[in-house]
Amino acid sequence: MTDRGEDAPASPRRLPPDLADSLVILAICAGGYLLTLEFDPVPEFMRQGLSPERFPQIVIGVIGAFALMLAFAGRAGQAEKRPRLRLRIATTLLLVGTYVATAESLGMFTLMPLYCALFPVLWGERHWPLIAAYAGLLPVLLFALFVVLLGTPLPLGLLEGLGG
Amino acid sequence: MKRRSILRGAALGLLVLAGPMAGGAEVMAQDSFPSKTIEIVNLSGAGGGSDIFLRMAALRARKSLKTDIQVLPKPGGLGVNAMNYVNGKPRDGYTVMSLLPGHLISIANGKAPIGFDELVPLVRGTDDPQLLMVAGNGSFTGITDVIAEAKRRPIKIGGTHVGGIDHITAVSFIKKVGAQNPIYIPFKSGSELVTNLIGGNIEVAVLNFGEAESQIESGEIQAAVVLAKDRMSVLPDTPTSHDAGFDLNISLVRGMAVLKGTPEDRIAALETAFLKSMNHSVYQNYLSGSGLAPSSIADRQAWSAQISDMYVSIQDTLKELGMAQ
Amino acid sequence: MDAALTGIAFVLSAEMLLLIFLATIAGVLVGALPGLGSIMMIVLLLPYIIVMEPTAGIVLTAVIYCAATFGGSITSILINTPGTPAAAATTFEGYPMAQRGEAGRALGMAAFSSSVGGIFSVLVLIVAAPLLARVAYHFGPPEYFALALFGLSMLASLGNTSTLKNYIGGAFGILLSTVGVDFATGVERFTFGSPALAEGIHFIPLMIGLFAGSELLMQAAASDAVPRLVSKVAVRLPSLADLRKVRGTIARSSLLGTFVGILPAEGGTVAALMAYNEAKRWSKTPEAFGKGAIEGIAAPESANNAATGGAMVPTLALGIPGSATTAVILGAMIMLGVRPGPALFQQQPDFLYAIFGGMLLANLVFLFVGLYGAKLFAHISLVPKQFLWGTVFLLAFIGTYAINNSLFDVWMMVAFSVVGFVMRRRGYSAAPVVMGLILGELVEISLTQSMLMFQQDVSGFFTRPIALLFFALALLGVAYPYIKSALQRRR
Repeated sequence: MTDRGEDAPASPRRLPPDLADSLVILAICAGGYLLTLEFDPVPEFMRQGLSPERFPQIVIGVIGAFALMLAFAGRAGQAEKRPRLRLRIATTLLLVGTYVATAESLGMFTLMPLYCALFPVLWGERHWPLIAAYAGLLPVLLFALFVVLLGTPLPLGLLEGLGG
Repeated sequence: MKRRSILRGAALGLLVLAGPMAGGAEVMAQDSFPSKTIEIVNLSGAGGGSDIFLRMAALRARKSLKTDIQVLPKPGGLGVNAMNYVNGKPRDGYTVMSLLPGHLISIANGKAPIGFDELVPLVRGTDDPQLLMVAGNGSFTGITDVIAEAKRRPIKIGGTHVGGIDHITAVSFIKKVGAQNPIYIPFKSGSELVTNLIGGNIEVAVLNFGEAESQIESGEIQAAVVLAKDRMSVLPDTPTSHDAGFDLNISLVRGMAVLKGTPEDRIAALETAFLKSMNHSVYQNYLSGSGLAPSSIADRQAWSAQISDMYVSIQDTLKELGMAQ
Repeated sequence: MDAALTGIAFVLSAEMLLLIFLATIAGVLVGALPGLGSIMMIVLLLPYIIVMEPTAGIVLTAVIYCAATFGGSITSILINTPGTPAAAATTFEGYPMAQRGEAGRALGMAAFSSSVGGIFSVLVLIVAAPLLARVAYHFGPPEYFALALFGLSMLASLGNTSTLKNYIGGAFGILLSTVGVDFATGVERFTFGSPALAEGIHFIPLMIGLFAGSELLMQAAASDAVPRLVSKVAVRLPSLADLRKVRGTIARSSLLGTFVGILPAEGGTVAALMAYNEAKRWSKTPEAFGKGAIEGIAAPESANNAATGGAMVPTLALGIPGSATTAVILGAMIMLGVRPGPALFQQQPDFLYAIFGGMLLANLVFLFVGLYGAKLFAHISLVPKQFLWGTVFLLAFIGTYAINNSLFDVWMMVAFSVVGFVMRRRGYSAAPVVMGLILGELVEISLTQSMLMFQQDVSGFFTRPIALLFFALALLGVAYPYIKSALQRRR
C-alpha cells in the first residue's frame, strides 16, 4: 500500500510513518460516529440506563484518541516482512469471490473441481497430472466426509438431495 | 449402564447413520411425500430450549416418515432470519419452522417477512408456564412479599432479552398488581438468571421450571408464583396467579408451523407423524423431566386456536405497554 | 468408593475404550479444522447421541470437548489459523516455530501441555466440584465487567506488534461487537437493514478471515522461493530440556485455566490468552516471545485444556454451563434425561465417575495421538503452498458456513480476509481484534447490567470486592510495562 502521497508535505523526511494509517482510522471513526447518530430512538418503556449509541461512541472516541497518538508516536512497530503487492493477490481474491458467489445457487461442490484446478495454476503450479489428481480427489473427499458422513449442512445447490 | 445397551446404542447409531443413505435411495423411487430430508428451521442456536424440543419431537418422527429430519438453527432478529429463510423455500412440506411467542412478537411488530395469516400452526410440543422465582434465602418469602415491595419501590426483575416473552411477562405482572415500574435487567440465558438470582444481583427472575429445577430442589431458589390456571404438580406449594390475587397466565409455548400454500395432505402427514412421535415414551420422559404435563402436546386445531388467541393478546399487550415498535 | 469403581469399570469396557479412542481422534481432527469445533461436532452427532445409553452419550461429548480443544493447536501452529478460538493464543509462538522448521517441537509441546492441563483440571473436578461450583454465584455482572477489562488489559503484550496498535485493534474489535441488536434496548446498531447483521458479527468468520484468510493472501503475495524446510528437523519432538523448562509455566497455566473455566461463560479462549500473558511476564526471556518461545505454547495449551475440566465443574454441579461447549453438552444431558446438579452428585456418582474416567482417558489418548501425530502433522508444513492454501480456504468455507447455515458469514470471512491482510501489512496483529470482539460484548452487557443493578450509581462497584480486585489487576497489567522500563532505567 503506497502512502497517501498527495497528503505529504514538500519535504517528507520527518513524516511520521503511521500518519496515513492515522488519517484513515480517523476517517473511519468519523464515519462510524455519523452512523451512530442514525440509530433508531429507544422506545419509551425501554428507556433505562445507557442509550444504545453511547457505548459505540465512547469506543470510537477511544480509537480516535489512539489514532492521534499513533500519528505522533513515530515508531511503526514491528511490521511483518511486507510482501510486495502482486497481481496474484487480486486474482486469488477474484477466484475465491467468484467461487463463493456461485456456491449458493450452484452448490459448493458443483464448481469445486474447477476451483481446485484453477487455484494451484494461479499460484504457478504446472504439473498437470498433479493438478488433475488434486481437483478430482479433494471434492470427493470433502463431500464424503462432510456431507455423507457428518451430515454437515452445506449449500448443495444443484446436488441437493444427494447423499441424504 | 449395561454393556449390551452401549453396543445397542452404537449399533443403532451406525444404523441411523446408514439409514438415510439406504433409505433415501429406496424412498426416492416411490416419489411420495416425504422423499427427501425435512428441515425444521429454528430461531435460536443449538443446545437451547427450543432446539432441544425440536430434536426430541423429531426423534421418532423420522421413523414414521421414513426420512431424515434436520434441525436448522437460523438465529437472528427474534425469528426474523428464520422466517426469511422459510419464506424463501417452496411451500412443499419439506420446510417446517418452529413457532414460539417470539415469532408472533416479530410479526406483530411488522418485522417479519410474512403476515400472521400465512402461518399454519402444526402441533404444540411444550406448554411451559412462566414462573416468578426468588432467592431461597432472600428477603422475600413469597409472592405477597414481592408484590408489597414492588408497590413501594422499583424492584429488580431479571429475564431474557428485551422485548421478548420474559419482558412482556415482567411488565404485565407489574401492571396487573399495580406496582411501580420495575428495573428490568436482561440476561442471555436461564442459567445466568439462576446464578444471578442466587447471587443476589436480581430480586425476582422470570423462569421456567426446568431451568431452575435443581436449585429449587436444593432450596436455593423458591418458586414464588406460577402464571397459569392450575398449580404445577411438581410445585404443589407454589400458588397460581389467581391464588395470589391477580390474573395473569403466560406460558412459554413451543410448537411447529408451516406456511400457507403447503398441500393439505402433507400438512396432515406431518401433523400425524409429530403427534405420534411426541406421544412416544422418549418424548414423554423429556416432558416430565422438564416438569411438564403430557397436556403440553396439542394437535393442529387446538394449537391454531391458541396461536390466534395469543397473537391478539400479544398485539394488545404490546400496544398497552407501549412496547409496539 | 464403590461408585468410583463402577464408573471407571464402565469406561474401561472394550466398547467404551474403542468409542473413546475413536472419538478422541475424531475430536482432534475436527478441532484442527478452522471453524468446526467441539460445538459443531457435538451438534452434528446429537441425533446419534440421543439414542445412546446416557452415560456413553455424555462421556462421548466430554471426550470430544477435550480432544478438540487440543486439536485446535495443530492448525494454529501449522498454518497460523486457530482451529478453535481457544487455540488463538497458540499462533503467536507456534507459527513462527513452524516457519523456522520446528513444527514437530511445537506440536509435541502442545500435545504435552494440553494433556497435563486437562488431566489436572479433571483431578480438580473429581476432588472439589461441588465446592468450587459455588464460586459461580459470586460472579455477577460487576465481576464480569472487571474480568473483561482485565482480559482487555492483556492486549498490550500480544504478538510482536506495538502496544498502541494492539489497543487500536482491540478497540476496533470492541466496536465490531456492537454491530447488531443492542442487548439492553433492542435497537439495531450498524445493521444497514440486514437481518443477518442484526444477529451481530460472529467471531468465527471474523477469526478465520483475519487469521487464515489474511495468511492466504500473504502467501499469495510472498515470493515462490520458499526455502525447503528440512523434514528431519521439522518433525523432531520437544526435548527433555524443553519439558524441564516449561514445568513452572504449565503448573501456573493449568491452575489459571481451571479457575477461568469454572467461571460460567468464560472458557478456554480467555484462559489461553491470560496464561500466555502470564507466561510472558514470568519468563526469564520475554524478548524471545513472538519469535517462537516454547513457553508461549505450553502456557495457552495447558490453560485451554485445563479450562475444559474447569468448565465441567459448574455444568455438572449446578447445571450451569461453564463455557459455550458445555452449554451444548448440558443440552445433550437434558435430552438424555440426566439432570445435573447437587442431586447428581448424590444419586448418580457412578455416572460422574464414568465422565471423569472418560475425560482422563481422552487426555491420555490425545497425548499419544498428538505426539505420534505431531510427526505426521508436521509434514503438512511441507505441503506446497499452492495446494495447501486452496484446501485451507475450502475447509474455512465449510467451517464458517456450518455454524449458522449462512453464506453471509462466508462473505464476512472473505471480507475480513482482506481487512486482515491490510492490517498485517500495516503492522497490526489479528488477535487483539478477535479478543476485542469476544470481550467487547461481555464488557458492554455486563456494564449495562451492572448499571441497572446499581441504578446508575457507579459507586456501587466499590461494594464488590472481587470486581475491585480485577480492576486493580487490570490497572497493573496496563501499567506494568511502563513500571518495568522505569525500574530498569533506574538501575
